[in-house]
Amino acid sequence: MPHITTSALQRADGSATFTSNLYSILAGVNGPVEVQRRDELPEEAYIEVNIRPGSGVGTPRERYLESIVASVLRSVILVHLHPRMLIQVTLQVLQEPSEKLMKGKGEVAVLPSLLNAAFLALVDGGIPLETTMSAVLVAVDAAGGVVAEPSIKELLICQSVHALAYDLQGELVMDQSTGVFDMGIWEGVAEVASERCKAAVASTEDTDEMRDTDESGEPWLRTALEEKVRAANAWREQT
Amino acid sequence: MPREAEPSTNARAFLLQALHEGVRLDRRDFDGFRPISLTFGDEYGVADDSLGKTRVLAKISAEVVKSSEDRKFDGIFTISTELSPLASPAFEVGRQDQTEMLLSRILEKTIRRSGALDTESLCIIAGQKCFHIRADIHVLDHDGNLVDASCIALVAALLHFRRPDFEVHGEEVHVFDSREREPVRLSMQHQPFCVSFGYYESGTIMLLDSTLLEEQCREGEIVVSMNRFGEVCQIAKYGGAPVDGLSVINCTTKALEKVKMLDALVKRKLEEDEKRRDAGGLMAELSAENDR
Repeated sequence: MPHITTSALQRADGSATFTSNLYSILAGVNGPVEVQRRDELPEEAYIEVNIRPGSGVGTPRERYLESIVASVLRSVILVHLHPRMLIQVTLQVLQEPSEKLMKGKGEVAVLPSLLNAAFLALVDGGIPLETTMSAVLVAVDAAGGVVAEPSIKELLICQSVHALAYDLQGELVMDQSTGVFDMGIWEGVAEVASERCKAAVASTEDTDEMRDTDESGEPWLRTALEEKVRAANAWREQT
Repeated sequence: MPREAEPSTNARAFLLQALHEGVRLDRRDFDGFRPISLTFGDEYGVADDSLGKTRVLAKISAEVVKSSEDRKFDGIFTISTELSPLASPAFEVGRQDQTEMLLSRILEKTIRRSGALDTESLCIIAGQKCFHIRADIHVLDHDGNLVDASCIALVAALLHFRRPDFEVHGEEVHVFDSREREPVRLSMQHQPFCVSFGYYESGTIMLLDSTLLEEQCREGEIVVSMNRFGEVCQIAKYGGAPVDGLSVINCTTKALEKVKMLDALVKRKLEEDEKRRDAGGLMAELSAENDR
């Protein structure tokens, strides 16, 4: 289960840290704020994503990841509510595995953490959203076994890695894969991933009889969001 | 990108009046620091420190590179300070503004040019291979006094960092993985800290550890960097209003007291962290370092 803290920063409008078993990401959101003339879109908000590696400056790798994250966030944020505005998402990588992953694998592996952190920060910042989404990392080992949220050891030896994100309606909002796989394998992966994403927002009440929590993961996103709502409503209970 | 909001005339007048009467808005003493917290990451060389609402994360990394042509016996040490919109929406990505320039310049003078890190110890084969130690300063929250906060984080991270051990056989270099051989500390010659003073009413009022609002209202600042032995590494004065020499001397004496406090704090935190890591008491046996 990932470790989440929200409102981690003081200055940013919304912020969150998301720590999975591989990466720790700090996300900050500022928005809607004034946009630069060259980025201004007449009918919707412009979404700027900045990814900052833990050490070193941003490279084309970060620009590539930014473009993916921005396009996913664009489908989640109600952009038409803030025309000619900017929503600025900054993602700071705090921790990453010390083992170097192969080119391609490393990019796909970090995506789910980036997206989840960005989403939680958007919620924290009160940005109007269309839906709830969560992302998951899935690896396929040499024997064709599908492993959700793999450890670094499993990642190093796996055949293919897939980063998938689903929204509340079960629609696929992101699909990034790398490695050797065929359509059949991908379908198996998609099934596991959608189960995981469904489980992330599953109701916390009917856990016992409905499903096996070990199989499909815990409702981490729902827990985080419920806690957030509870904290926001604390003043009501006091009065 | 929005500009940093200027304090209103009322807010400014209130702050200055209060200072004139000897009160700071957060009721601190004029020479008091905000509460400092310092934590270390799970990996070596990550230090996260906060001064009140200001928060800075420093991360050190090392890699083996070709040594520079003109400094054959030295390793390479670079400090990178890139301010991100996390700290304040006024910081633009990819463009250096004045805050960032001053910050990187002062850190450069304090840590790098004062020879805090012994770069000669980073040389592996003269003229061929050396370590490149890279320090990345990530400002996560900006509420004034970035210089002091970054300096504490940077020094703490450098003291916390371990570089991989290596062995040389003729021309061959073998760099050991952290699992093969316990990484070794960097050799630090001294630990300088920055203490910045904001001055008001042409130097008659000196504030330590200013918040953002106090920084926006001040006439100028003096940054003193020194180590715990009172050796001054640099003094920088920014802002137009003149300050007389005596106040600068006052600053250095006050700075020494604070530097001793900061030095003790960093040492204490490092020891605590070491104890936390050394759960089974095996560290001494793992170490390949020689007693000097």
